[in-house]
Amino acid sequence: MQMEYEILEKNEDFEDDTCVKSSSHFEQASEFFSYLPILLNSIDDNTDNGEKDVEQERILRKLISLIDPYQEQPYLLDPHLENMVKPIVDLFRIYIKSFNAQDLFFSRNSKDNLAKDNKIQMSNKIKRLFTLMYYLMKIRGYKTIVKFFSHEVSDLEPTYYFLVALDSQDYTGWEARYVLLIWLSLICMIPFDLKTVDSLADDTEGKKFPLMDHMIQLSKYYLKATGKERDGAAVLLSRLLTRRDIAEVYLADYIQWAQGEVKDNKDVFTITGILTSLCAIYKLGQRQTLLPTLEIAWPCLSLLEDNKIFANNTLVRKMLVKLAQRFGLCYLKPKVAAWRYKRGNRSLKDNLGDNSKTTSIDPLNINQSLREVVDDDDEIPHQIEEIIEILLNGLRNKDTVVRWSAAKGLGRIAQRLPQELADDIIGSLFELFSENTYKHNDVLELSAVSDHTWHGVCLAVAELARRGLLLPERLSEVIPWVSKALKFDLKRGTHSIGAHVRDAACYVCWSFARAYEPKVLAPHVAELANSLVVVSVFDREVNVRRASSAAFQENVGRLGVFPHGIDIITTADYFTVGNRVNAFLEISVKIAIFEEYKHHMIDHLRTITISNWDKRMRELGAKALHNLTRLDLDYMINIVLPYLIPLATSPDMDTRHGALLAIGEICLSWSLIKGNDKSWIEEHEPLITRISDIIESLPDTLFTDFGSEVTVKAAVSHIACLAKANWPVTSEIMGNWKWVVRDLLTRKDEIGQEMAIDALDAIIFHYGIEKKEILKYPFILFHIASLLYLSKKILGFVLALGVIRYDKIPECLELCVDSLILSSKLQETKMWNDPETRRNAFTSFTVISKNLGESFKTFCSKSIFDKMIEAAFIGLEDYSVDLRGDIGSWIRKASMMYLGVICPLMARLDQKDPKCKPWLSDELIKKVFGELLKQSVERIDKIRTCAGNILTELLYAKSDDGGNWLFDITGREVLQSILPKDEEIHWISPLELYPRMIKLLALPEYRLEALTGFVIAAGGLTESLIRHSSSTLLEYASELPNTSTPGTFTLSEFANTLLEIFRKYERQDRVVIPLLEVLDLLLETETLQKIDPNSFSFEDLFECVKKEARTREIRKLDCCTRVFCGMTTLNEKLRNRSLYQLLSLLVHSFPKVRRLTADQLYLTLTASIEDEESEEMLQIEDILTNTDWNNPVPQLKEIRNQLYPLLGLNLPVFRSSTTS
Amino acid sequence: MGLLSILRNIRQKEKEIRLLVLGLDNAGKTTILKRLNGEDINTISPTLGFNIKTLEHNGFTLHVYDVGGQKSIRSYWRNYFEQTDGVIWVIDSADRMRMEDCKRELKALLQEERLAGASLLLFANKQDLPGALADKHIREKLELDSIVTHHWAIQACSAVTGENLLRGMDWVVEDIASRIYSIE
Repeated sequence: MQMEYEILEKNEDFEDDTCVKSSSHFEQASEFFSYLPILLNSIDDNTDNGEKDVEQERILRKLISLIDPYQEQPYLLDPHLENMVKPIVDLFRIYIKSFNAQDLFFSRNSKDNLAKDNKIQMSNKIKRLFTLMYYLMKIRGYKTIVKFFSHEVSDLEPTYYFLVALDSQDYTGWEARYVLLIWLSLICMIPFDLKTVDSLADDTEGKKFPLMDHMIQLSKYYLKATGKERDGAAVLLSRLLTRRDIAEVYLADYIQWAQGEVKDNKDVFTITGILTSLCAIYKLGQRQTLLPTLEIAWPCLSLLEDNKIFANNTLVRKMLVKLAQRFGLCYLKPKVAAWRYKRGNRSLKDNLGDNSKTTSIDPLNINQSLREVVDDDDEIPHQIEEIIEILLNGLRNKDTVVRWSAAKGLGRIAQRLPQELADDIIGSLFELFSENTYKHNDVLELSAVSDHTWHGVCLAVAELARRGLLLPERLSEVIPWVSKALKFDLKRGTHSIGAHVRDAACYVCWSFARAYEPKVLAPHVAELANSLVVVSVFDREVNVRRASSAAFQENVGRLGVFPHGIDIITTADYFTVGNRVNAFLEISVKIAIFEEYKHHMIDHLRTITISNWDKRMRELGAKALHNLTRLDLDYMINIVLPYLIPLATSPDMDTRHGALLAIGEICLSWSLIKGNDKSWIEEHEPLITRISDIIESLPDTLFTDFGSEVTVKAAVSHIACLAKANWPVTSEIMGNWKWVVRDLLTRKDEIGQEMAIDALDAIIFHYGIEKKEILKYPFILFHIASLLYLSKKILGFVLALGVIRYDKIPECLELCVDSLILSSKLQETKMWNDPETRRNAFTSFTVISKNLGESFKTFCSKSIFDKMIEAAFIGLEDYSVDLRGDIGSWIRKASMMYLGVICPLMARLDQKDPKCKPWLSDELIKKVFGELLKQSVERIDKIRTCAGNILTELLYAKSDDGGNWLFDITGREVLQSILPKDEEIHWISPLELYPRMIKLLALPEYRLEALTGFVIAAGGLTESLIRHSSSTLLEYASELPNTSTPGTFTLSEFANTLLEIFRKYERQDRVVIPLLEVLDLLLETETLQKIDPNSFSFEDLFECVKKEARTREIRKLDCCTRVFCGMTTLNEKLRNRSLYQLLSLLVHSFPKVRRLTADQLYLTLTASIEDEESEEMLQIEDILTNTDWNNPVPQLKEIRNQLYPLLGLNLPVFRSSTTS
Repeated sequence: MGLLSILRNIRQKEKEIRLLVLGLDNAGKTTILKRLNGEDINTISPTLGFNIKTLEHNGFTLHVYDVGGQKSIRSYWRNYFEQTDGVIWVIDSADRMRMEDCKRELKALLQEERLAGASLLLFANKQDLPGALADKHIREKLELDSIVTHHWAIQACSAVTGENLLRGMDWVVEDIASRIYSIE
């Protein structure tokens, strides 16, 4: 169970890997370029045709689907972008110029150029190309894509007026409008006076000119759009208004307008549009041009005071923080940090060796010295203080995007500040760190701090550090906070928060690597390296482990001062730390080999991980401690165990659980290290006694209170570990242990029971168990006396019986086996039945057989063996069903597993003792194979797989001398040809399996079992299963020869086998219903009709079906009806007998059955009777189709009785009817 | 917004370099660009406007902006300054008459605060022409040694023959790559 659990967990972690598909290049390039021309050429094709339209739409979607997966790695498209974008743009240009939209515009001379009438209607073909272009911009970013657009003077007017002429409300054209706005933003970068480009411009007017008036007006209009056009308009505006010629004339007006709108407008789209445009303008523009406008724009920052409705809008808040930053950057002159060149190289490769590359320019012609520009006493505007305040507050915002924007803003602004002011910011950050902290016993308590704030502050520290603004003097102050942030984890109820803080703390560490020289960081290396290692290996979250490992790697690469850095980054890389189990159990050991890290890692586990809120973390932590014990046993003995022992009785449930597990694991590892040398027991006696006493010292209430199962489980796995360590304990303590184990054994939780069994197994193995204890535990007589009230509780004990070592107390064997057999059987009283108990009985059989092993025959008599085998065969027939479905399958599986163990074991023992009559007779072997074959074609795929694997294993098992097959079975050649040794068979795939296994029917030895399996599968519930099994079966049957030649399998034998199944499973619906379904199919395909009537008794078959028809199961009745209908085609006698049955079903007490029968009968008669037009036939049809079969039965009987003569049947003599 | 996505963005940004090619008209800016991009250089006319080329070089993506050098256009150069990592200043080494012009424009350019920190590569172009000044003379004429605000290098070259263009590009890309990014 533990194993399965871990595998599950592994899968969980791996999902994270698989969802990010990574490639090395644009794999679908050739496919893309084979489809693109179809869309391009479609423009010239004037034959409009709906079919083509659909096809082109399909191609568009195809093209999008080819590039869409590259959203995560869009740069892979780069080598192909030019060939993708250029041809489309060329088409756009031709298309746009063909409209001559400006003439249209001028001739109309309408002032209101946004009026809805007279708009250009784009064809779908061109819209598709715009859509494709939009997707390219979405995936790669418009900035990259637009570089491939044309930008000539002659593009400006046609493109602009085309956009004007588009219907701004057409919801299918928004991609085109967005692309055009972006395109215009490029065109308007032309280095010419735009006024000279405007055909409407008049030399006499002032500096304003019509084209620009219109463009700004149109952009403002789109700035309010609800869709993507808003972003496009903001980009266009920022490009226009930051041009020097335009800015002079238009910028102030625009800012004025924007500020007014921001103050009064309540429309969220308008507000975000305007804010986006302002952010872009203050980013692109030249500082000197923008400075005068700042005063006008300043009130925008207090937007939320005027417009409270936006207080909850994340985007608006983010934009405001960003705008504050941009304002700040405008006030301040950029500075260049000279250290940028001093601190290392961007390429890690260079630092790790390979620095052979030298420039080939004559060194004399190069100047790479920079003179630090001395701060000219630029006055810092007072607004900066307010801006920093806004940004610092932004760090505490509840939305990540806002905090991130604020952090970046602080970094950028601090870069332009004089040193002392930048340092003030650092001081403020420390204040934010300490906000809401308090000292408790001289320890800083973080439980009241805001995780948002810590996250924001970490990001800001990282941004400052990255820019070299966190001066080395401050480092010793910041490192303690960072260390705390790296392990930030606040309990909130049943979980905890803080993964984002830890992640941001990794970012801080990553930035350190970029900002400092090795000698600056040297005093803190030990602390940083240790913290990062611990987080890389022992953090709960995969992204934090990876972030930490990335930060570690950056430090190693750039600074090279982390001890054993290179060894560690090759061990704990992005992929290896991705899997938590692997990180905890494997990677940790490889790193802890280095002295510098070992104790810090162990300390983290003992102090933090064992108290983690997540149980799986505590379990993994304990296991990791087990593995680390090998590396430093003394530390465990002297420090860790003494620390953990008091925690085992901690009032905190999680800590108690973690400590109990950890102590157990460490002790087990301790004993394994010492092996046979037992001197440690005396040497550490006091400690050993303290550990032995732990369970005793747990208060009784912990075992009874609410939530006690966590503690009980922890105690039991603690005991299991100590028992496996053969811990020296007194008999009193042992008694106590057994009591605890028994407590868990009686609980319903199955995982707990398995843990208890694990512990009990170890106890019995190392300390033995006495007969009187076996009897004292209610092991034996439980079900006889007390099954009623124990019910669920016994199933653990059933497993317990398995782990007793009977070679030590052989006298108990028979008694125990008997009680196991008893519990393996279906109980007559239904409510006593418990499938888990039955399954566990067989599991115990397996364990007993394995434990006895070679000495099986010494301790177990043949009669006991026979009993066990017998029980296993009964178990194979367990088809119980309850609300959970085919729960019998668990028992069948357990029985098969048992047979898979005992058969080879016994066969080998028999061979060793050739004089004695073998216990495993040939007949028995044949039966085992038959049963396994039957299970291997059944309907549950897990069962098929289990049976199939055991089957192949047994089939190819060799005897100990190596030469011969272990099992001498009939039909080996056929079996081997069906199941070749070296071929992997997919037992779960019906498509592959059934055609393969059908050949089994040729073997008379296994025919009955195999055919039963086939029939059940063919009547199953899963569509693919039915399809493949029934088609395989029908095809096989139809190809069987009809005449009997000796040694071949004939159709009549096939039918006789079916009959045999009918008899064997009489009235067992599980088999009979599928069998009826199969019969129906065989009759429908006229396969059975081919049989020579002398070799098969259809009457017997009829009788069987008739018997089964006495049921109240509707599905079964439906099958019977269909089979009866099928049988009307066999011969005169059977036709009549079947019709009698059908006619009586017509008046069945269930209306549904009556309706079904009428339908079936009608179908059968119209299909089979040749003389369709006869008078009788018309009457019959009339009766069958026009009668409402929902009417009361007596009324229907009269109608039904008319049918007898019409069908040429005598009216039967009815017994006095009891139906009302 | 986790570290891993921050790193992905940073790494991507660091792979992209924005270069601005400037210089007086007829210095050979477009020719150099076309030569670097392997295009035909026989039919080049004065750049009325600007060109953008995206090139690959030593694993970096270079976005190269080439803006026309006519006097009337020069005042618009500043529209292209944002986020520039390096400036390639192209000089017609044979145009002794306009060396003074060239010096003035270069000086003015380097005053621009948005170009602070950008690497400066000077191509002493047209070395294939008779009468072309040698790089060391140009260095004197343009008073390059007074430039202390930027890393700079001068490289004699010929766009027509392609000689030494790669050397210059290697230097500018290397110089940009060797600093740690901090200015966005």
